[in-house]
Amino acid sequence: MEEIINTTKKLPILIVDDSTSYRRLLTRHLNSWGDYTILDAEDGIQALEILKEKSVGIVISDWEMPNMNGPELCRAIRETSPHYVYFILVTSRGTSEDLILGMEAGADDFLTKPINQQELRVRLRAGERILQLEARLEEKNQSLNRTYQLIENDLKAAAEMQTSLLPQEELNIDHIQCKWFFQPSLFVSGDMLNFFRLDHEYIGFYSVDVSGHGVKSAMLSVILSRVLSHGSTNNGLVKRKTTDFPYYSITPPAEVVTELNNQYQMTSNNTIYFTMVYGVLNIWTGEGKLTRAGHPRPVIVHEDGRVIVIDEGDLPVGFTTETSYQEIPFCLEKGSRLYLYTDGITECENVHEQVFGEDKMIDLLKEHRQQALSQTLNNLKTELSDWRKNIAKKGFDDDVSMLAIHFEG
Amino acid sequence: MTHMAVNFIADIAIIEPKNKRIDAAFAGQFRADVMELKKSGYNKIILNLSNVDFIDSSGLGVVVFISKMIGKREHLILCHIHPNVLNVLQLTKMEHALILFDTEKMAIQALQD
Repeated sequence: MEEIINTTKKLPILIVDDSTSYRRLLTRHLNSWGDYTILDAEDGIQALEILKEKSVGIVISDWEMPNMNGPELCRAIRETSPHYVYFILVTSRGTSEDLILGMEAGADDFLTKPINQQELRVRLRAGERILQLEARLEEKNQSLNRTYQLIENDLKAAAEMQTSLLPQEELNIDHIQCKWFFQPSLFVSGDMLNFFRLDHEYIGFYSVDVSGHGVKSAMLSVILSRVLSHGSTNNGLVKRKTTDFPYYSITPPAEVVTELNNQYQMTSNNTIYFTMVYGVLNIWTGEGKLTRAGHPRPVIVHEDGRVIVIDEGDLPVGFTTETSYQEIPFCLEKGSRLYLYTDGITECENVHEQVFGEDKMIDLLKEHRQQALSQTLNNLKTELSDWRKNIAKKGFDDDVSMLAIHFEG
Repeated sequence: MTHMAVNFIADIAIIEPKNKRIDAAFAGQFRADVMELKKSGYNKIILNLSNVDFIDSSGLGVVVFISKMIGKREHLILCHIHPNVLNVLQLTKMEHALILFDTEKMAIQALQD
């Protein structure tokens, strides 16, 4: 390819014609201008053989030839050549039907026999300009591809990093089973969820959905996952050191969310905000409390099929510091399950732009409540994928995630 | 501003988005255009959502952004709200933070009083 665009080198031209005397005549003309290297072939088959070996910029081909005619040759080149070849079709007929046929085969230009020398020269110049443009385009494409690769690799690395922040294993404590699923819409996600042991009595858990998708949202979701972990120092937002026995206190959910709301207010430059549920649960009694900030409504499915949808709640985090966040008490009984999830599930649209909806989700969770928790979640995932069936775009429009807690009592 | 119609009554700007969906794809431009209005001195805004039947989290972000930008909660009124949009506002508890009216006429009256 470089060979062709390099103007100091001669542009290789291939002449294809079954008449030996005609090939000689044309070669003589072209050579006399001194700008070109001339190759020749007596039919399409021979021409293709030459093109396999050599890089050619322009092909001047006769229409009528034995074995493979001009339009057939043009089609074959269009299908096989790795770079652009400027194809000039020579015809003695020149009717509009011929022109259409030639254009359909992919010819760039036409010449009528007998060839006028001046006209040929002008046509070749036009071809050279096209080739230079093609070469530049190709170069730009390659540079774009390289950049895209770089970005994609970075995103993949970021996605791996983010995945590493998710619960590494299911938390199975005596009375409690926690499971989850997490599906970013594109590499990284604005969703985040986790659960962790706060002490011998309590676990903490949350589901977060940062508005928007992509890197900006993901960065905030990663930051939040750090802020919401008590880490190895046992001194953070969710659990603080104190001077008196037992030398720590578990921060009430409303205080956790209020603190985040004070820290992450929207500004005119930063219109990102998030919805979340944060809660704590006593693993011995099944009693707990949670704070809901604009997040989809948490669902409790009891073993006997009663369903409780927690509707109380307050504004998303980041809207206004005037929000006063409330704590909502709840109680899990033997066999009860608590589900936190993001709107990627309920707002998931099918091919008719109908949303999956809260009702359908609750029905499924209720119907499969007797199954193992992982099986219940798998069933929901399958239903969601089926819902999106026949949508051309791969993956989900939004990040999808769910956290489930099963209380064995 | 072909994606939204804007009318003015006294110091009120009435914005009617033409899109059916206020989502991530629409949010950026929408926000920029509303900021221009604010620069021109319009401090009271009515969002007529009669064409809109879907709003996502990014769209919600813009509505809140407008509310914050105006500075006074009472100076932004939403009207002609589709059940789907209302559902989102209810789920996120936004309906209490925003002022909602059935019709544009009622919204204008409220802002002129």
